Amino acid sequence: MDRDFWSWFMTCLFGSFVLTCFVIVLTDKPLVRSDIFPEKSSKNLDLKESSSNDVYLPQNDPFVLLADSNLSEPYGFYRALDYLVVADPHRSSGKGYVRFYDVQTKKENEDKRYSAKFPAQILEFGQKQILIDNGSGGSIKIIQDGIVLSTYEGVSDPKDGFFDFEENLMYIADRGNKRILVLDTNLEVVAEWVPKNNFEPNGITFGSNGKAYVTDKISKKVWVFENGSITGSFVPDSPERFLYPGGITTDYWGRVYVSDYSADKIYIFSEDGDYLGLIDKDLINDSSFKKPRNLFFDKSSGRMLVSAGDRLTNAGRIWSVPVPLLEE
Amino acid sequence: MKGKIKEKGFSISGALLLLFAVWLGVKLGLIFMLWVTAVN
Repeated sequence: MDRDFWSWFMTCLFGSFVLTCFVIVLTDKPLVRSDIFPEKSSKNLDLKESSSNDVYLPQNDPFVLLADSNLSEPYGFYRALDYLVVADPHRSSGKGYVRFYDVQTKKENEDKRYSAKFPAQILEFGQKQILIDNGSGGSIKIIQDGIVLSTYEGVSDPKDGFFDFEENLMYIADRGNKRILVLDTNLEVVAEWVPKNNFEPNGITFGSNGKAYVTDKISKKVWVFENGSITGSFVPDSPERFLYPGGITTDYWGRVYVSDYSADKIYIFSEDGDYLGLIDKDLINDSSFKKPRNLFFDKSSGRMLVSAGDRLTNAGRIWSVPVPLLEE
Repeated sequence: MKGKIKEKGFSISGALLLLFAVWLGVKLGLIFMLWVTAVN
């Protein structure tokens, strides 16, 4: 084989590499696929019916709450009264930030912004924040006005957390250690929940019934915990299944919402795990509704706030999508 | 002329190697895009 041949070889190799990348980007074809395509449940509540029977809450507000060009791939976030705090890891550059946005003007308050390696979730308690940082192995930090007050480093690959205001305890989805870690506000370990099955928690929330709901990356289920032990699990009704259950939260009425990052959908369940319906691009008639991650039920608007975006496009958004009313 | 000039032309092994390059490029592209869009 002469030199000419090897230059042809490299041209073919590189050319087909670039062409493949282009084709995937242009066709926007999901690389992680399942032969099970989620369909709407028979009990699904369709937004189109909303005008006639008020199945969903009023639709006057736009569905995109925040679409800032600086926001690359938002993970966890919360809405306080007049501002939105977003954990924005920016995985492609490795320079993550916690950003503060004014809800009315949609502008970022850059004075409040602070950097973090890989902020996965941000929670609020009092005037302080709990930062669940996935970077450098993982850590839990208590932060006030951008200053780190205390740090706990005994976690591995933490993804999510929940703060219980009644007990003043935080529950951390400690994915790398396959457990739920319970910490107090001094970051002292109070308890740990370690199920016997192979388990990697992606998200955690609590219902008003006192049960904890945990999304599991491995078994692709939602596990129900009571007093630290698993008492049940649920998935969407067949043929619907989870591809990648991530963010999880409950609403005012106790229903459980689970985002599926790979299926581009948010599933709605009753507090007992009965599948009620889903929120997807068809519901809000916007095909750019993709890759939902973390969820936050906004009591002030009665809507579900959804962080979405992927590393490829670096076009992160916070969506504000309608939730169904209870069928009374 | 002192020696014969080797003529370039079609050879099965060369074609197969080029095909292998294309196949490898496609696979590498797929793996790269999977990595880029990894869920985490």
